Amino acid sequence: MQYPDRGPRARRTMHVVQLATALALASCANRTDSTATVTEDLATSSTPAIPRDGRVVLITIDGARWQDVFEGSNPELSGSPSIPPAQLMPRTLALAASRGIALGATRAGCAKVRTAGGSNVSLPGYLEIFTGHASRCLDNSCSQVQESLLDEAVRGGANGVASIGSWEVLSKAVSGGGTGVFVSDGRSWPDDVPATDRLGELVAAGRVADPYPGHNGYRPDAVTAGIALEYLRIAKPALFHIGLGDTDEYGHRGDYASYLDALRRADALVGAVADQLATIGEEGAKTTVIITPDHGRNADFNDHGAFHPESARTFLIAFGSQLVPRGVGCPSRDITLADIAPTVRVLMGLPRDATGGGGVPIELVTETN
Amino acid sequence: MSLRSLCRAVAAFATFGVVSTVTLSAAASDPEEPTRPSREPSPSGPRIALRTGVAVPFGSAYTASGALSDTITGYVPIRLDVGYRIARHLYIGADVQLATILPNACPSGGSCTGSDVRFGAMVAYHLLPGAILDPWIGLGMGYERLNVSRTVDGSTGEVSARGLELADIDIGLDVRPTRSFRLGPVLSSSFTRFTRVAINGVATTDFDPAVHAWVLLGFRGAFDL
Repeated sequence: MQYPDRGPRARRTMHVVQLATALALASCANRTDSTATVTEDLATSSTPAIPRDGRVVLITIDGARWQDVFEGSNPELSGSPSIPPAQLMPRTLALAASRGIALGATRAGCAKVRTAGGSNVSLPGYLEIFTGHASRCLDNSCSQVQESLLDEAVRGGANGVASIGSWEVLSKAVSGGGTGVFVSDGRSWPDDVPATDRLGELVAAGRVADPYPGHNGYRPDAVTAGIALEYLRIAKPALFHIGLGDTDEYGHRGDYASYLDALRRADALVGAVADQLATIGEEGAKTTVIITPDHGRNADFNDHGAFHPESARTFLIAFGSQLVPRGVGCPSRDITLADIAPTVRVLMGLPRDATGGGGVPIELVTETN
Repeated sequence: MSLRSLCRAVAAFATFGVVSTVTLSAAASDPEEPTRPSREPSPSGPRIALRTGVAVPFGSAYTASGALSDTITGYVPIRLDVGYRIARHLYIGADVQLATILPNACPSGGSCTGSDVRFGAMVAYHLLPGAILDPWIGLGMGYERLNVSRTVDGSTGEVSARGLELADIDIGLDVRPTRSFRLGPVLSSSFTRFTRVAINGVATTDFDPAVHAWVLLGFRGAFDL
């Protein structure tokens, strides 16, 4: 669809209206609770029930911008007409509309999704996601996490817990080690876990792949996504983290066009995960998929960090049969990355964090579970 | 303030400094008598000085912060030095400096402010203390605290960083139009390693430190009492 040339702001506004309308229509078509509205305030929604055997796939898209997800691509950055959200992330947004919720859009009276600590750097962001606490660490040299959400899930009896990601440094956030969490972040693959057949081929390809757009031990998203999908098909882990990183790598290179392509590939992976879950019966039906970045980007696109407070702002999209379809949600309080771990604990029936001072669960779950 | 306007300001300031120096030098100097006993300062005594100028940053607040110049064009300081001339060539004193940050890349509709506070001690050596033109070099160290507040697209972030100023190296040229007053340009470089950073009021030391520098071109006036 071609828009009259009313400037980038008008185009972005039109995209938001268009996205909200599309999500509202899709949401209404699939709604089981006819009284709820697309703009439902999360604070007024019903108290979540606690499913004891829920499963979660958590997909992180490093440094992806909320603006692209909710308002479409930025024509000033791309030098070409804005691409509507529905064309950038068609699968993800359709799934959020029909089976879940999308949080982080700019809407009057609605709070934001953001980092908790404000360092707006990757490893601290991942530590917030995987511990449920604001990180005091400011850079990617943070210490190895002692006990992560994935470790908790293993101790809580979850049947299969894994993290497969592109960025090798992710391994410092996803597990403290010693619990049996399966970790393959970057080019690494555990020596004691044989990879055979199709998975073996993919792992071997990942070991020799050009790390571009990353560096050193980075494994490009295309390879990581293939390995993750095959692992999901074979192992069906109860808690599965897939960490994508090409978006941030292209962001730091100032390559907005390639960043958008990476965002499209992330969307394709989300769709493929949903398709895969649909083929594995009850286990798939019990799975909630959560998608979030670890930080946003600055106004100039190519950076992020504490000196760029706008890069604190992120988004969160979740879908699954346990959720009330709400489309674009309107949180009454700021949701932070530290709220994700408590939410996953609720979804999986894991014990609450007893240390205090951490995030609080996002109200995503239906009361009928 | 854009980089261009900052450059203009620095150029104007430097021009003012050079013109002032030449003018004062011409008015005060006597080609037959470069050093006049009547203008010879007392070999010891207190000194008070004020300086200002424009400084530009180099390096990062900490490794992952990105270059300071990404968000800060520079700062405009007012520095007060109070000390004592312990010998004919040698000065020792304390200094305190307050500076207003000149933000960089502050998007339209955003609000970007900041300040920099430093204090320290300095030793200076005057090469020609009795001459009309008196070059000097100073070496000091101190403590620096940088505060930056930015509100962009409705998101506010406040970063406060502090740490030891490892070195403050000054080079100056004083013109002495009178026995007790001296005035002239100064070029200084200070190097600080922040060891504590607070983001939105929450302090931490869990980061990989980096050294940053401020290079200042300014002007100083001093009274020898």
